[in-house]
Amino acid sequence: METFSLINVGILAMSTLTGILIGVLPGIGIVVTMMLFFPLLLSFDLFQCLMFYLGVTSASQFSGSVTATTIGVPGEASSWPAVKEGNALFRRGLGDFAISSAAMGSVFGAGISALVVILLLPFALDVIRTFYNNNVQIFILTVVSIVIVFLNRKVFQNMLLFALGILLGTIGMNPVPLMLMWKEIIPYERFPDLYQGLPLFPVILALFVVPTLINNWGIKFDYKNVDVSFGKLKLVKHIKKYLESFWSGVRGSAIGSVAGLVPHLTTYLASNVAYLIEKRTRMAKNTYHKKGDIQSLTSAETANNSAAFVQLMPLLMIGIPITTSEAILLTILETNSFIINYTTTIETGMFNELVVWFIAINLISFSLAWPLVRYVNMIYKIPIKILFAITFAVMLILLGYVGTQNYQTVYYFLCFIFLLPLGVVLRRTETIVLIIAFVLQDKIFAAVTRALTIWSM
Amino acid sequence: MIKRLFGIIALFLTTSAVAIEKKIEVSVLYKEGGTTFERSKALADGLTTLGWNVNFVPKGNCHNMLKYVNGKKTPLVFLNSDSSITEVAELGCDTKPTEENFATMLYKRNTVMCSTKDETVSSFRAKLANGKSFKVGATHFYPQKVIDAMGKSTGKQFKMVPYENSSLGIKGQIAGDTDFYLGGMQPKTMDNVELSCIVHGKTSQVENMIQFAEIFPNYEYANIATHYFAHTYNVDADVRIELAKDLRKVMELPGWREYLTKSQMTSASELTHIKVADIIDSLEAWKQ
Repeated sequence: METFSLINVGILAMSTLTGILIGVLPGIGIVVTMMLFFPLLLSFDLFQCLMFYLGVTSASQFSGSVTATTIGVPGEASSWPAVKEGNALFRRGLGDFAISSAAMGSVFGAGISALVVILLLPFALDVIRTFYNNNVQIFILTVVSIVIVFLNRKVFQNMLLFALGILLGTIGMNPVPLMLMWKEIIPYERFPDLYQGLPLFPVILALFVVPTLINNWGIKFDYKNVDVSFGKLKLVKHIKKYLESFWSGVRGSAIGSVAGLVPHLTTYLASNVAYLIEKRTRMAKNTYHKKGDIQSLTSAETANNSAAFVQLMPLLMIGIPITTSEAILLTILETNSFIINYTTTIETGMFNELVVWFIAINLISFSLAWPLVRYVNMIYKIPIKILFAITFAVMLILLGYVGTQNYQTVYYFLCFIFLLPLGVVLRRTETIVLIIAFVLQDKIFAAVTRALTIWSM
Repeated sequence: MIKRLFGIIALFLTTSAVAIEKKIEVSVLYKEGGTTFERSKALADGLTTLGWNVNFVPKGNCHNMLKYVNGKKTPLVFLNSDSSITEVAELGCDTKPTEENFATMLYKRNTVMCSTKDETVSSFRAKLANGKSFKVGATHFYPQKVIDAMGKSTGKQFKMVPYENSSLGIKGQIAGDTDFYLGGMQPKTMDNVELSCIVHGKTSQVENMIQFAEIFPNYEYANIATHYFAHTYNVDADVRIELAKDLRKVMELPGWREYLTKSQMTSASELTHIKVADIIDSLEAWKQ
């Protein structure tokens, strides 16, 4: 293995432990983690950046379900089924089986998704050739935009947020088309930095991270009553219990492998769709257990980890991010002048190596997340407000650091301060819609500009 | 003894007056991530290798850089080009060189026209002869008139499909958006297995390729190329001469040599005849 080195083993350990940690800390998801590690990632090579990202995303899926099961609080959005079913199982004394089935399902899901991708690789280049066609791009951008706007029932609100994101994205010089700079309104002459547009880092910080922290500020955990002593882990018994949910896991993995490709929703969509389908199927058969259903939980957790791997494929093969955290990853890669596409990841054999490391990440996460439940109490003894305050302080330091790295410290802070009131006002909304629209704006405009020329001939 | 001491002091003073201070700032008009940024950094590293005390101060955009050089008087050099001058002029920045701030030509990047995989000179000619209209992908800084002139030359319709950068333009060509791709002669076009680069803008012959003039009769942009040069601010004439000499030496350093050769670019030693007036003249071709 060409990528085997002590440094890479260290990065694997760091990313896996970080993923496990953020999985148990609600409000500090993968986006925030990528921002926290931004400066460090700038010193990594392409493979190390990808491995770090896979480590964080995969490991967080394992530990997220542990806290969801024991305390009933989702570490990340995709753990909602674990809150519903896992916590119910926990309350009736089956928490150990809930956690072990979720963990084994996660490993299974990861393995299946890797296998599916490997089997489909021979067709990948044709897919990519087609994908870069402008008509295909327009179709995908349209579907993504519609999916984002119809994210929840607040369609009108989402449309406004989407429009606002597009509007913010038009600030600065857009090479294609060279228009819509709002020269009459935006003070370009006074602040020439604005020609470059609003940087992603302060935009995400002000409009996504701050609203998230504000929303979670009042969360309280009743950790005093949590009993997390499971006694000796009896592996065989747990495996037998898991095998009862085997086909639920297979179904979950299939759903996760497809849903993981849906932009922005990925693991969230995968786990929730798999959970709902499994639950409805079992309800129809009268086998669903109302006080905690282990099969539904396993299906959701398997789908979760399948999606965690599959979601990275568009970025690996065609350099297109489909989640906010991937957009940050791509920014880091582009800052370091790394080209990410089929040629640099698949043809070089990097992908095959990445799969091996991915399996290792999952096995380590499995080994760590399972017994981690014993220490959940300790983490929750730290007041959440102190945790959030520390996170915010670190974010501000990083804002300065990233701004300095881009030779625009003052500009980064000004952008953040300027956008902060907007973030506070929008704290009750899905600002992720705004962020995605902001990221997609130039792609949408450029694709439409090209289409107008291509279709006219 | 006293005479000798005075002599030494006089010699020291004379030498000090003649020796120049090899201290310079290297700046960039663009933000991190692009080719110009990367080449500017390589330029700064090359000057450091040759004993210059270099401070690398990229400014992200032309307004910031001009504000910076006007605000202080420290000597500064940056990598400029005719296509860049016309591009930043769209934003209201004047970076045209003068006799007083032009240091030296560095290299020239020629233009190339590519088609799909496995195309040859004859199949390329046939494609042109049999078609009525063509979509040509190019980065946004290529002026529309360069593509329109192809139509004038052949009596057929040529339309430009604009891309944000060369990588996207190449991908668009591979995906079938466009019939041809027009771009710089550089490794990502010349070495790309999914493309066949057939027509070039060099004045000399290139194996398995043809010149623009051979395929587009009377094409006025047959030799359109990007001329890269060193543009200085606050640099005294004597220092500028020394700097120019060393910059040409930088172009001969192994890393730069490899970059220029691989990319089929014309190196500084072959461009000594190009003066400021020639660069100003070439701006007309790049103007939108």
